[in-house]
Amino acid sequence: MLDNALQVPEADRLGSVEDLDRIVDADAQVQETPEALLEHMDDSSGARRVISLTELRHDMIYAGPSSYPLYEYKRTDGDDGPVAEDDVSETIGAAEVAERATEAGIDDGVVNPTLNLGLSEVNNDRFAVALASAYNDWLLSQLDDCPNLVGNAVVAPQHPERAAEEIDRVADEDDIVGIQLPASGLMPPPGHRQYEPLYDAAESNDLPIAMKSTVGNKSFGQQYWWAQSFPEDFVYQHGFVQMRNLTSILFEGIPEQYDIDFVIQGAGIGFVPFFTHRLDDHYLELGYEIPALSQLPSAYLSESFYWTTNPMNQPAGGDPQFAAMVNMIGPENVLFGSDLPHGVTDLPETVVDRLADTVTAGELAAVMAENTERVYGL
Amino acid sequence: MTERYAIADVDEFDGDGSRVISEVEGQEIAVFRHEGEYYALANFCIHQAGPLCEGALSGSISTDEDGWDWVYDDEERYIVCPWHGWMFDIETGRSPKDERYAVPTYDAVVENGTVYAVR
Ligand code: FES
Repeated sequence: MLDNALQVPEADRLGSVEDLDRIVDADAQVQETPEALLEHMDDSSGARRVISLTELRHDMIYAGPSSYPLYEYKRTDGDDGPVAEDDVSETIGAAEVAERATEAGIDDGVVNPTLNLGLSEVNNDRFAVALASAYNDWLLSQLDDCPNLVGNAVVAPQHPERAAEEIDRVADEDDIVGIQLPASGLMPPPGHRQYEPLYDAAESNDLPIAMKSTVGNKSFGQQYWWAQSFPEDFVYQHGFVQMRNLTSILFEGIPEQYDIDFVIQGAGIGFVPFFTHRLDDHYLELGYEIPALSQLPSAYLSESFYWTTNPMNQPAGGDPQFAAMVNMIGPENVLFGSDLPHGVTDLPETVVDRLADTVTAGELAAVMAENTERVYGL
Repeated sequence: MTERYAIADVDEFDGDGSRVISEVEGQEIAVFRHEGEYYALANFCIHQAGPLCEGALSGSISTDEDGWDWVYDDEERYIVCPWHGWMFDIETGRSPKDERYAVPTYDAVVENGTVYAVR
């Protein structure tokens, strides 16, 4: 049971989701297809030619052997028609995401890519750079008609200098509010010095870096290859990918070197208290091997790392520990994220219901909107 | 009120880097000899109550000015808890990584060949 000590006095509580001024989603997604992106590449581009000649673009450009086909099979009816609205072969543009967000009671949102969350695993650097630019142009054209949505521009980590140029190219666009550094499959991990140009560009353009994890990430260790089904991959990937990336970012001193906010998406918040305690514990134990830091890892996490709520992975009847975790992390570092339009969406009322008794109305307004507005400068 | 505990005779120490742990009034206090001086702290780790002062002494690593090279300082002034490896400066009792983490220390006073822990 939830400790009564966590409950806030009734006078300080928010009544319900209707009492919020506004709701801002830190983690919505558009869904792009390779075909849509090809339209944003020059005809003369060699990358365009090769990608356009590749038949199974999703599988052959973005990922190698993967447990994904099983998942797609499950979501296909007897005539090969899709059974889920978010079939990855269909485009879900910004206008449609905006519509679904409005239906869910969300006022504004920051969108990320879907297909290009797998960009880190594209093994041809030229394709990766071309796809990132094409996605950003496609995204900008999508956002033109959507006053309630802004987006993170994606960058290709395979080529940090080009990534920096891409950041400089799009940073002045009003609809670009941050950078998406696709979290899954980052090789080497993101604390490596090779990424310095990318961090320099994000810092000098005053843009936060969002890192969203995805599945089918074959770079995440040898064990991936033994995932015999989609769920065997899906269950563990997000949290472990994020912990690997963040340990690298922290212990290599990136937050000591750069004044950048990081938004961590796709793994929920459940792992954060455990992970934070483990970072501090081992820093106090083995800190002589981590001379780049001047304070506890948890201090950097409080200063400049933000966690989106999706997926909440709630058991039936709710989970009182969710409120405890928000309090442990600090409500000022938690951002409401829906993952709309995808299948594991958490709606605003799910988050508000779980927190209504245990954080103040002010803190809840921060989680549901103000934190995201502050981090992204909306 | 000042408490004063006799811990050991100076000739029980085997030079720099040696220590004596003694139980006085139900608590264990360790005295370390380091560069000719004596330092006293509780044999108690604030992490999970491990026997801190039974661990090894260690130097520390920092970075040089440009943040690239690691520099090892071989002055062994850090006691490493044998349970989970947290380190504390034997002079200040504080963690070299975060000063808020600290174990109790005592003043070590030598009188007539006896080392006392005073606080
Ligand atoms: S008890 Fe000393 S490090 Fe854990």
